[in-house]
Amino acid sequence: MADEAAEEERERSAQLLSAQAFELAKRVAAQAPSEAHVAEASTLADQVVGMQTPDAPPSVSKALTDALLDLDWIRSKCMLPTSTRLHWYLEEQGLPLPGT
Amino acid sequence: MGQEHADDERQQEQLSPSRQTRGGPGKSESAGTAGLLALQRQAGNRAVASVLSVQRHAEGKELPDKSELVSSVSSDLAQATDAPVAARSSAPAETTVSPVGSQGESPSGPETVPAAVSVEERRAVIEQGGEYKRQLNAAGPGHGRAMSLAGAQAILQGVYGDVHTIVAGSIQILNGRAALWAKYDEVCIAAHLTNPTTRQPWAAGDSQRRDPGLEGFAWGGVVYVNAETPLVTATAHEMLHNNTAAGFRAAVGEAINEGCTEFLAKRALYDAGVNTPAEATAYPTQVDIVNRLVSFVGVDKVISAYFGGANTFISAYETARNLTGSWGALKTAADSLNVATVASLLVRQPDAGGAGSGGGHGG
Repeated sequence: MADEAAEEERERSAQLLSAQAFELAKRVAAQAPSEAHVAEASTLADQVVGMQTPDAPPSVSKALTDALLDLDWIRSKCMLPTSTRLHWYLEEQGLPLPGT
Repeated sequence: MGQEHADDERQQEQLSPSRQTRGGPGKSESAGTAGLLALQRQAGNRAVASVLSVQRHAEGKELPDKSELVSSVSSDLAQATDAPVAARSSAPAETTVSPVGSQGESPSGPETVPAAVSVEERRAVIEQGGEYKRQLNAAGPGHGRAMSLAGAQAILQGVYGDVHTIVAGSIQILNGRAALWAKYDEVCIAAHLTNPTTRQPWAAGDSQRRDPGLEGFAWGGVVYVNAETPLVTATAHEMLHNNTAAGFRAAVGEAINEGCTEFLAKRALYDAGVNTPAEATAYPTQVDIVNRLVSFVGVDKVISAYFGGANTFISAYETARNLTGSWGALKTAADSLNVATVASLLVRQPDAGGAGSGGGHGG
């Protein structure tokens, strides 16, 4: 029971952190990335890396890898490849897609 | 709450066979409409909407006729779609197309209303599901296997083709995580990018070192997916994103958008005879929220909104809730992944002046 609750909390924490990373990426996409954005992304990226474990359930692993992709995209000043979710967002908004 | 999850007890609603025909007679016969439909089949609703949305009529100039407009769109899309596109081999004939609005969202968006799914397309759902199950069995326990693009497209088309013609989009499935890391490294090195962590030019092996759990990424307009992903819905999930109504995400929020996408992917696979284990579900909390919403408003509303525009979903929710303007609170609770609050917002309010005291929520 305690394990189940811990797993649920881990899942929720990963999803919320991932959502936070995505929201930051969306804000950056709408304007030029600032040093403050990069600093915030680096802080969040450290949290993501700290949550990654080899035994994480696929949904947690997916949430964290998406977050890391988004955050590293910000840290690279929008140069690196994106997560798939950020790709769909940029395309929907008519914003530049990295590599095009 | 007594809200059953669709994972455990599938929604019994049949796929809506209703063929919605919007717009007046004659629209379906125009060359412009035919051109738009062809473009929609090639690149998807949002790509067409995106191109159209940047076209502005200069004040004082005559409006272009439809054929000029479509020609312009064709040209723009030809430049924009050099990435691989898995074209449909047998798109059904569409009947009408609605006019394009400023927001690009239905009912004013460039939504196509396809004809009924053919017997062959429905048969393909089962065939492709069977083929995918054989691949999963061949991969063995504990080994993931992404569905092929053709398989995912056939299943989604057979299940949702009555309301939307499914477009594959630019998706490539790479042969395992090692291939994914290699592709990521390859594009970064080719583009002479700097690794923001090492502050050195991107080098082979950087991707694996940085992101050992990489499941997919996007570059150059192409979405790359891990062929060995444990998430059985991965291909269908990404393909559905390419077919979402413009504006749906903004209207419903990220949690409900992702939850709906995964819900619809799981539903399609279920119809194809493929179960999605709980541990192989992406966005489980978001799917839980959407399952509850489906129980509240009906699955048909979710399907029509996902492909046609969120307004029907929102109005269905507010009608079921009996509270105008209540969607915002639900969206906020969903984006916070607060399932308990979401559940509390999935209760019908008593009529004003009714006997029940309620516990009214201002939304």
